[in-house]
Amino acid sequence: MIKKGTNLLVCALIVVFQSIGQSDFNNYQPLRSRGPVPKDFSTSTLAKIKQDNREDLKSLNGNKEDFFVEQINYSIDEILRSGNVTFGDTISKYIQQLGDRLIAGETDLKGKLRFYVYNSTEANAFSTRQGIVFVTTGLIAQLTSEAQLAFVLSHEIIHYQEHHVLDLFEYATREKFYSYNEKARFLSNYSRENELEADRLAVKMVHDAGYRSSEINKTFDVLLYSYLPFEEMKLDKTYFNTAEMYVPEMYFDFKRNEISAKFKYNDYLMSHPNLAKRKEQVTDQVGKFKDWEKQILYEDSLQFFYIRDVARFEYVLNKVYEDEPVEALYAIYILEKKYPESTFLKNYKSQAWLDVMKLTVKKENTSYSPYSYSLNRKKQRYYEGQISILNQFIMVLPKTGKLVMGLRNIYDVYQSDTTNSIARKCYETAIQLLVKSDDFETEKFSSRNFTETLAYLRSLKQDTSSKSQLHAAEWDKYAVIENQSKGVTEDFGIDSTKFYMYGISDIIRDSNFVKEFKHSALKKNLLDKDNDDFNLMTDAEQEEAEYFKYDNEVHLNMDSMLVFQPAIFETNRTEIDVFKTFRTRDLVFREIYSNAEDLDIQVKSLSLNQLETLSADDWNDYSILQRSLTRAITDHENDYFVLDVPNLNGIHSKFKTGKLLFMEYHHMYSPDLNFGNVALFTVLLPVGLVYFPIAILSGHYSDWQFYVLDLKTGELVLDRSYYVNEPASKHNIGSRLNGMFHQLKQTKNDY
Amino acid sequence: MIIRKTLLCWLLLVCASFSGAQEVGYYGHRIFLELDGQGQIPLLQNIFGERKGYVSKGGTLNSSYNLLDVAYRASLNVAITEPVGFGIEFSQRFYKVNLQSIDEITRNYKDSSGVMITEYLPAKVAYLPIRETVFMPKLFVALNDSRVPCGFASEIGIGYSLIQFPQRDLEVELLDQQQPDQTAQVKDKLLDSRAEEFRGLVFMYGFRMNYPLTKRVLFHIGFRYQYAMQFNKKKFRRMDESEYWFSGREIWSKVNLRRQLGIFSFGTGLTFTL
Repeated sequence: MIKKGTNLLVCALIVVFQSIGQSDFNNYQPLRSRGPVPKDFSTSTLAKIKQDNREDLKSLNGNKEDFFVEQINYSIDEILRSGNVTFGDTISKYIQQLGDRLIAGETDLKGKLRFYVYNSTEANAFSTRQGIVFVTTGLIAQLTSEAQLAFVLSHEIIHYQEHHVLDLFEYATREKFYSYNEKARFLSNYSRENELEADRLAVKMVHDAGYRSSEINKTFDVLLYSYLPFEEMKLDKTYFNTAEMYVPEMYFDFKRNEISAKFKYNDYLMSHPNLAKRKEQVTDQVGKFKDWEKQILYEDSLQFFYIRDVARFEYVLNKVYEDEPVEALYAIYILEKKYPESTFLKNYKSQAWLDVMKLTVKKENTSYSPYSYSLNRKKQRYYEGQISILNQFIMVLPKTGKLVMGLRNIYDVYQSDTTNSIARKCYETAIQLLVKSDDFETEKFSSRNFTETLAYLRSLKQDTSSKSQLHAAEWDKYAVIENQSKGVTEDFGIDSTKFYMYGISDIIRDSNFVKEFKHSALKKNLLDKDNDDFNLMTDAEQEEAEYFKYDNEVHLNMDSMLVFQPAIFETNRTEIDVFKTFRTRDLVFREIYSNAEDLDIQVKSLSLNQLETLSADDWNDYSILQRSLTRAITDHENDYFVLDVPNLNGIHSKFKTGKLLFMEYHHMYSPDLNFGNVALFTVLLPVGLVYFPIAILSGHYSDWQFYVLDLKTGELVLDRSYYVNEPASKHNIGSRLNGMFHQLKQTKNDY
Repeated sequence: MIIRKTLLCWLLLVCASFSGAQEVGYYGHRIFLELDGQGQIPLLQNIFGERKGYVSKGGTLNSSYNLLDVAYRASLNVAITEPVGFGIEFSQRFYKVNLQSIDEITRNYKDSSGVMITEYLPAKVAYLPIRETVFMPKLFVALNDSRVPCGFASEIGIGYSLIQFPQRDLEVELLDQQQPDQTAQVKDKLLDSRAEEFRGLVFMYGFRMNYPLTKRVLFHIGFRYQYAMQFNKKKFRRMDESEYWFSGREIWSKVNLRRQLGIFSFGTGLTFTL
């Protein structure tokens, strides 16, 4: 009786939870930090280095110890401040609870471990010496039960408990292979022995926490196939069909690329044991505990599946921001089955289609040189499994086909809710892309949709009256060619490879669309005219015009600016010099304020300079901007990204300034004085007298990157780089910033 | 000369107004004044090449290396664009020339009766001090994306040089004096009066690093190659017959040779923005 009641309660809870979850995901909002800011975020790196008690580092000598403490604290803080880590959010809270449950029996670990979610499509988890465990959303999205997540967390907890990070550092130092990149791997790349030990002890931890044994080994399958999307779901051949669009089934009859990943045993020359060995060892270990079935079952936790869906929505978000439209569309296809009304998915689908459409066009004023051509077209990725069908469908579409499929999807999303500002912006951008493309002429498209056309052609065929026969007979060579381009065959059939010619009949009849299309076309004509004028110039005039344009690009009329946390690095040949980096960072900040004040430019900043004053909202703004900047900078030449515009507008209203300045500065002092040079030029002293001063003086390498993001439009309006052989001194930095701010403050001139 | 200076000043002002953009220059200051010291120590030439000369010390001539080669420079410059600047430089360089190849002086000339007289005298003659004044328009071209006048820059210029001898009354010590006033007679006819000054051109390429010290002052250090051309060679005969112990052609050649040896030099100084 009690059991029956419990079952009913569980069912009721499932229904309630599902409906709450459904509405949550229909209006899904990306992960945000909430509540009080943890010390991991609010304490500066230098303070962490100072406070480091180093008790576990007694095996290292002085220099190595300092190096290790500096680098490890710096690396972790770089991750924490990458904009990808959130705190107090649904997932972090959940994994913290789960982690606490796992270490319930480990008194020495209580209160020491902090769990955060790292927002990335990579499937990974790693722990740090400081007691932080990161789990990526990409990994959670791939898991199929809470027990697997518990195993992953346990594995990372053991790495922490057994000080494996230190083992790795000692190994790396001994083998002398460490470099900056290698050190970044201190976080997750352990030796064979360490990995096997962590697996072994993690089995016990999972067992003690009360999970079922059958799920543990599946974790290795998850890791092996994590390069695939989070589900292998067959693509529905009618997925893209609507009342107005019909995609022939033959487009989904491509051969699926086989999944190639396999468990292999030979790990010779690998620094890590392969998954097959680990899986085998875990199976043995599981066998050592006989009382699995007596434990409390956690793996059906409803919360886990909710969290997993959050991670999957974040997967979509990340794939769209990473400009991977095929993966994003496939993930959206899977999630739409469960959440067909999700506005989030619709918006991200529109953006993903914009990213497909942009493959067909080039940005204004970029020439068709081999170099810019390669900029516009990303190297095609090879996909395996079901996603390969979707990829082949999109790739096989000609330019017009891509444009039409994009327009169709974006238009439908917009029509389903015309108050949705993102959908509206995507729609407007899609029209701009159509206009920029040379492959879209509205008059070439059929005013009947596929079904209507088919019926019409069938009726023509059946009509034996002299009028229709005459009509067919009148098709001369040129009419045949024209009709072929429209997808009509000589025998009144439809050329199904041109199905898209019949997919937007309703759109080209929509007066609003026609109006906006014409408006955009007019604008493009003006630009074309400018290009024509440019082409008619002499070489000297063109050179002058280009110089003027280059100069004028920086004149952005900026009386105020939001300065975003600059990315500053001081390195010697291979390593980050942590203390110098922070000194230069402070110097740059001082110079920013000082020069802005001199030039009467109002500066607001969103930086990590005063960490302790930042609230969760500030950290959220920081993450949004990190993500937007990364996307904008990655594809500056040809980007049509609108998803983040509302967020950026929000930041614009909050800081009351329209432009954001982000700068990167990398300085390195590495004079060209190797043993060979020194020996040679000491012997050849007269040459050395010239060579040594030059080598010493010119050993400074400074790279500057300035980016300006328009917070109103979301466009990156400036991307300017400078390379100089100057030290990172106060006035070298100051004069550079002064010059840049001078330029940014000026208004554009007319040519 | 005055006309040339005026012309160069006008040229500088025109260049200053060439670009209206405020961002050019150092902290928005586009015109800058430079004060420099320049010099070289021709050690190798002294050790392996040139014979030691003489300097007067306490009334006697002592053998000494010819190491003095220094200059001061002042220039007024303007940054035309971010990487390019233009300037006019005034400099004076001081160095010495050893007129002798051996401890002997010689002359041959026709006396009033038309008889060719050739004389040899064992003697030591002090170094001939030279003052070379140069007016030079020059261009700065910044390395990579540096901004004139800050950072690394190359400089190139062509200068007009005036070579003068501030001290023509050189100390002479005869090694085999036969008459009491013989030294005075030799000194009286020591240097050819036609070789009063020489003119020439200087082709300069320099490379330097400008370190900013304050918002108005920069320190710079670098080196220069200067190739010197000297005019008026044809004014003198190759086998000049002169009653002077050092003929015009001889002085011309010695000065010319010494100028070529000063092709490389180091320099340092301060830049003040105006």
